Amino acid sequence: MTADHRQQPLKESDRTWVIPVTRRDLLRYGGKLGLMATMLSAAGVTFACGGGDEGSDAPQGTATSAASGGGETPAAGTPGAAAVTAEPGGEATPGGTLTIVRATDPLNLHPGMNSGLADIATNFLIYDALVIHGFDGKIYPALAESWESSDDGTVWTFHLRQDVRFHSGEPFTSAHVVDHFQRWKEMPTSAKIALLDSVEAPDDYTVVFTLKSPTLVFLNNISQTEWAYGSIPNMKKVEELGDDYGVVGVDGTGPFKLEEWVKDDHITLVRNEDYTWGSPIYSNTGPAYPERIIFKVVPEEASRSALIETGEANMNIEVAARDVQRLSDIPGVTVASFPRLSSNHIGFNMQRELFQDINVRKAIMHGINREEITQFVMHGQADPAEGYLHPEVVGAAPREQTRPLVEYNPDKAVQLLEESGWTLGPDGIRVKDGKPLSFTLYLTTELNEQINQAVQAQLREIGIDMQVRRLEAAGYDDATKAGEHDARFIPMIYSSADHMYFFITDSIPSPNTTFWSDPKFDELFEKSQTTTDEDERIKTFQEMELYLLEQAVVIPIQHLKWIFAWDDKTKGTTFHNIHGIYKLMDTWVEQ
Amino acid sequence: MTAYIIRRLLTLIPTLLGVSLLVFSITRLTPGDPVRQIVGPDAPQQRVDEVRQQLGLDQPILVQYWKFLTGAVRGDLGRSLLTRQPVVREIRDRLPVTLKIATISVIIAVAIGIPLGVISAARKYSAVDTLATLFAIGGVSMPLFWFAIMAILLFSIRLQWLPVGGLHGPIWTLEGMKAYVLPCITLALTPIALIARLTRSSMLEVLDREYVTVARAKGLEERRVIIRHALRNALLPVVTFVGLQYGFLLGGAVVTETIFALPGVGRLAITAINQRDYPVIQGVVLMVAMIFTMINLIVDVLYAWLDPRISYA
Repeated sequence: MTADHRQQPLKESDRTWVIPVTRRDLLRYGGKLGLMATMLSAAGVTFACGGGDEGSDAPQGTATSAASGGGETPAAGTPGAAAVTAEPGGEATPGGTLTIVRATDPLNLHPGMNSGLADIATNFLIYDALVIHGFDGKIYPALAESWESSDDGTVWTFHLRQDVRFHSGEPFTSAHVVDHFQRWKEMPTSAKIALLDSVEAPDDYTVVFTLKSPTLVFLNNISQTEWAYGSIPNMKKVEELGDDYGVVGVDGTGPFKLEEWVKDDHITLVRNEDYTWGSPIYSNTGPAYPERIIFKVVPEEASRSALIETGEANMNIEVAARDVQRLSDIPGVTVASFPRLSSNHIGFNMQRELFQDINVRKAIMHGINREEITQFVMHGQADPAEGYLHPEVVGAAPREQTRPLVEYNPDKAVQLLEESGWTLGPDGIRVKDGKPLSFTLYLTTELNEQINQAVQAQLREIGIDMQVRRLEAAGYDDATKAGEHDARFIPMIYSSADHMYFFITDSIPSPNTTFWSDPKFDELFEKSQTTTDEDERIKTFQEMELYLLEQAVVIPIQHLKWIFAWDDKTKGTTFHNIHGIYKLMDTWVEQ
Repeated sequence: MTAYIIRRLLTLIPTLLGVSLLVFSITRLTPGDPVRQIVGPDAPQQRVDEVRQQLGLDQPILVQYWKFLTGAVRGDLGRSLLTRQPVVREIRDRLPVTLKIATISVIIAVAIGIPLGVISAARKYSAVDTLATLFAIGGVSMPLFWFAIMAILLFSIRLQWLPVGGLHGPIWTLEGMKAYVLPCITLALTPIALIARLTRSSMLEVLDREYVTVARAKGLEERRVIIRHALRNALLPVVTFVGLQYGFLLGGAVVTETIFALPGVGRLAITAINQRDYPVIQGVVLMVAMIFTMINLIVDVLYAWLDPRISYA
């Protein structure tokens, strides 16, 4: 059975797993409602107050999946998330082992230590953070029961739960939070809290953060959903193990404890029986249902699918697009694809003379048939881009406005090129002043190469010669940062429109490898970060996206998808559009 | 002999020095920045510089090399840039799996390859010889990954006799042992074919020698002529090949480890290379170089045992 969310919208009854915030929740967690509303607005978060069935407000799924792994680029920001429920699956029963296969093993389970996706996915289960994003993209309480910010938005006070213990039995207090944030400031991923000035604990259950200047995205950045960096470990264990923390041992407050880790083979997590402090974003607030979760590391795509086929694993969270049909044909196996917040796109090196001509950039924009690429290269497991941002991300411009800027229109492309004086040469490649219309695209991974071989053929038809050069990830980063490329292709995953800082002047040469420097765009970004009006912020993001497309600096190709496969014993799995399986609190295994 | 072994062991020092210098230079000259891999592509340059300083990667190359060298002498290969774990421990965790698959595969390859080669030579141009030749050509030409996936399809999915991949407990248990069957057969395939061909040609050469004719003239049983007189002399090139092959497999059977999801040295090396984890790359290469040199030494000592005419006095 293939459940393509795009083609088969969820029925209202299927949405029981999307937990909206109600007025009662607001009163319960907020306390100081007025203050909280200001603060959430400042964080780029909107509460939809109302009845219990507000799941219908939630966008259904978002996010990207680069099916081949490498080269994905996580970015910062505020999410516009959504959940898709695999199967409600009847009444949950505790027990059993859930075996999940994935392509890579974590490197180090100390939150904040690195940006690997496998590390992050494992940390969601072992740790909790002060707050987390719900399936609707809004911020919910986790280890913090409530919080408030000062009027100027620089002092944030969090009130912690008092019933939480680490796996070792150590009580969770504010000292652990202070310790983690102080350590995080020295960790490689500390850019997320660059504006954090100090963190203090006036008492055991209160933490006060002071920021150097107000920022809209502070709450978002310390949420566990932001790559799990804000997950709180036991400071005593961290101190005791030093550099070995995160590999030799860990101690968190999450729903699962680390039982065994055989490097590059598997990680076994065992249920935390004392866990009763689960976030309200799940129906089950603890303990989790499965007794054990085993993550098996299987790098080869075909082998991962084979493990589902033989029943050696319950779930494959990295299904290759080409395996979808084969797995769908197996009785008892469900394959589903869900939108994932992402934009895989070509970005020009704007320092190149060729791309100073906007007509060339626009011609490439209109010369690509995205529908064809999606069908033939991605086997239908992606959404052809109609704009730059994923349509479900908060701040995406309306598609009716972006579509004409992006649409496939080879006649228009040819017209634009001729207007600029590019005439067809004898070999079918356009020339101007004796120079051919030719450039080289840098990229990584086999999948990206296949996508762009299709682009290459399509551009050839309008007289553009695009050469493709594939590098491995580290070499690619160096080359694009140094500006050796004419253009580059990346599949970018993100949690919000904030990631468009990738294209501002301050981000040159990395992550802004387009080297595009445009005062108008910079100004818009600045406005998006400093406004305290949520509507204005969204409007600004929309303007930014439209401007990016009008200038044709980036050529969006597709929004990729999460593709999951699971057996008929796995029930109640809810998928998050930013982080896939997330905390697995509602998932259970049929005995 | 002892003096020879000591002399050979001493040559290890310049060899490893050379290897370390080479691998150190290559990792630094290859494009790619380990710090970017750690901090993520969206981190600001200032953070990248700070982390580079923390890891000591901002120091001059010669200083870095000297630190690495003085550490290596004490058995400290540094810490992985990504996991922050000692490289020695990272390798030690993966080595048992690689040792097992390499050893079992070589045993399988020798146990099948040599008899196949001997039979082919003894019955030159017979049906057995033709079949063995066909098998050898197939074994050498067949892509490993294709064979591995076909084996999974047949034995794991269709027949459900063997697991697809991963470790399934200690090797002395039935389940644990089953996990090694497909990877070892896959890995042994090419060496079986090569050993069979090598043994065959070497045997044919020896069987033409005069002393074999003399042995036959003396009325010795053909089986005895082949095994006692011909095979022992024909084995010299085969022993060299098996030694090198074993060293090669210990260096990491990357494709096999990847398809069958086995956590060995090959996968450690690939991950380290992709992420520019310099200390791990250096550690793995040094270890492989050391193993190669040691195996060469063992092979040379074996020569003297196989052929008493060779002496290292």
